[in-house]
Amino acid sequence: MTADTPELLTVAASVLDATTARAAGLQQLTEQLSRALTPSDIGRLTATTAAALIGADACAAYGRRDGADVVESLHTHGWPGDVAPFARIPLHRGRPMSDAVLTGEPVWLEDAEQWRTRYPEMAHLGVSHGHEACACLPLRVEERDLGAVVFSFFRPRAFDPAEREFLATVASLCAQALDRARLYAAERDARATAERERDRMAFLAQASRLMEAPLSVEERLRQLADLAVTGIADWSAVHLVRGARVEQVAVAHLDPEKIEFVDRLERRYPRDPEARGGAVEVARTGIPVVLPEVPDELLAASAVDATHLELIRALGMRSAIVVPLLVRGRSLGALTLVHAESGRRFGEEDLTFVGQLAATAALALDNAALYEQQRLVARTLQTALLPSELPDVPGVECAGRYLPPDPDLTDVYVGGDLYDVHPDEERGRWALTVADVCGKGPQAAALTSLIRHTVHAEVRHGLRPAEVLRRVNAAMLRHHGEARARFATMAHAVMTPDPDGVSVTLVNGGHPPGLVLRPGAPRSGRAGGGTPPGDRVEWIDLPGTLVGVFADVDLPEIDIRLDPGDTLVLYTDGVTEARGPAGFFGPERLAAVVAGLAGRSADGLADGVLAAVSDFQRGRLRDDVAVLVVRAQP
Amino acid sequence: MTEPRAVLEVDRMSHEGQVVLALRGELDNDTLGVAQDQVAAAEADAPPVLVLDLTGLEYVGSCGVRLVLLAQHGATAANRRLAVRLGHGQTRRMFDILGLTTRLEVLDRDDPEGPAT
Repeated sequence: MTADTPELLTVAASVLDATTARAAGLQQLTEQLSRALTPSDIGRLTATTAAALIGADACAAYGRRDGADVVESLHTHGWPGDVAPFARIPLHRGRPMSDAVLTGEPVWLEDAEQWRTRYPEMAHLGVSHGHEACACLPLRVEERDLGAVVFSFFRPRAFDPAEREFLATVASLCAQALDRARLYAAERDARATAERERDRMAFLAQASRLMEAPLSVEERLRQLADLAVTGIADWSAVHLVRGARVEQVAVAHLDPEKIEFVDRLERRYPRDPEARGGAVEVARTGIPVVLPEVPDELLAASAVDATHLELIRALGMRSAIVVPLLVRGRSLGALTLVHAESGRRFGEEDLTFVGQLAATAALALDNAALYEQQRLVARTLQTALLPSELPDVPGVECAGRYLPPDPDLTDVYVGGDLYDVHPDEERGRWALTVADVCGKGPQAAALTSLIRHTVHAEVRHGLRPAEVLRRVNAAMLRHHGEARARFATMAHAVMTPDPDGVSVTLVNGGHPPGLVLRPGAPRSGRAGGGTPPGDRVEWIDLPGTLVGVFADVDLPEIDIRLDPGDTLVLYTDGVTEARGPAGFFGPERLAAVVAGLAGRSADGLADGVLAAVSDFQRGRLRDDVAVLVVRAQP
Repeated sequence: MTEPRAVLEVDRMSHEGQVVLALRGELDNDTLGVAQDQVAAAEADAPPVLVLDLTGLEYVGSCGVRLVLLAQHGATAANRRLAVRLGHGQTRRMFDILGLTTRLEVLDRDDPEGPAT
């Protein structure tokens, strides 16, 4: 052992101490980094703990997003003055940190001289405030370039291999932590995106269901606006193009007071229908608008005066998206969504989702319009199938009624039931007809029309009722040739009034039996049969073959006498086969209803029967109903 | 609130060249499609005799009658037979009113009335 031994031992001990301290420091840094979740936490630990560990006087950690040409400050520590200008630094070869990032190799500057020699353009910054040495280390994991860390020292520093290795280890720890945090953040973002997409899909599904709800179009749009403010916006509004105008049909916010505020605002400052911009313009042009920020200038431009501007500002609109309600290349209106107090923002990326939502509403609107058009055609056709008014028959009250089925329970409806009273003026008698063509739609309507006009033509020839029906039967067979399954049932009669009442000759082609109400008739007949209201109601049980199917038909006739006050009721099966919560309406119930209407006029009785059938189905008719009531005047 | 939709079940049995379609439930516009499909499938097999057993129907609307008439028309055109079982309830009354009972091959026309029919 030499004389230098103690000194060497001291040095060795201090080296060992430093090594031990660094090992302990690394362990501590590793632990702390393992708990850090965000890039900024990791940046902070790097810039403080790691810097202290190696005795750096200042440190800055920068992150680089995938391939970006700038690095962004995660944390800085120990730099004097304003560091804000260094928050984002463009990468530029020929600068120490950029070189470290772009080459993946550390840059070591051991003193001011090295700064000046190697980076003459940057030296004035690098050595300002007494800084001398500097180490710029890239933050890399495998091929992933995550940024850089810069350690700066007030004194010159010889970065010996051990120190370089130590600093590289520190940088490597930071890089791994940063990588983990990035992956964690990416996963969290992906999860948030997936959850948002799921919520949006659920929202769209809910909106679709709403658009199919049995409500008026405007009510559906109002509910859509209400739905929108439960999750995707603070405010929502729907505008519709109506002719040359664009009208707001719905506005929604969770706070009713705010809606009231808007209502007051619009009453005080009515909207100029010709005004450009906003929902009106989107509705007209079909071009969507996204405003990530609602600029104050826009509010100022739409304000009439200073008070108006103040009130508009009070709405707190921050961000807005307005999409057209587009269908088949036409814009039917606009959907407006606004973020206000939530502070959220709409971006271009929201266009797809909001566009889908608008498309759902647009499709529903379009369907409703098409449906309305079809219904108009159907109503027009149906009107042509029924008499506009019944003729005046001396000594007889006639009343005819027709009710179409509930539009919600059937497709667009036309055809089917028919009632008519047609004069045979030459003979002073009148023909009564109630018919029901099987099926519905245009084909049924065509047959209904055929029946009506055949009856009119044949009645003028003075034919007996059975013969009229045979002619109708033949006409139907000619009409549909081989496809003989679209049949009709018909009750047809000829009535001849006289001073003491009315004589009726009736034939029944497979039609539900008619009935006669005889007020004050003696309690007899079917009374014993257990049909209490049958006391005053007589059924006309008359067999007969349906028409339109068989070439030969059995059609016996029956004569009925109506005394003054007696009433004949003919109807279609929409009456007796009406279905409600209590089952079928049925003939017994009809008899009871008719008996209960004794003494009423023909109109009163027809209305009473219709009301009973409608009430029985709670106003929602599944099938159409025709009723013809003929009453010999009392 | 809406009324419950009508329900129709169709059982198919084949026996010695006869195909029997037994309909149970309600035959109206809502359920017509089910019945039409079954009848079309049975017709496609061209059985010498197709029997529509309607005794299990609680309700038959005019569209149900049309189904029977179409089946009869199809059978006649193809030189096959169509027969029906109507029971003695609502369905039978409906076919009676329409004047159809005498124009179809009704297998249970003369069966004694009773719960079993």
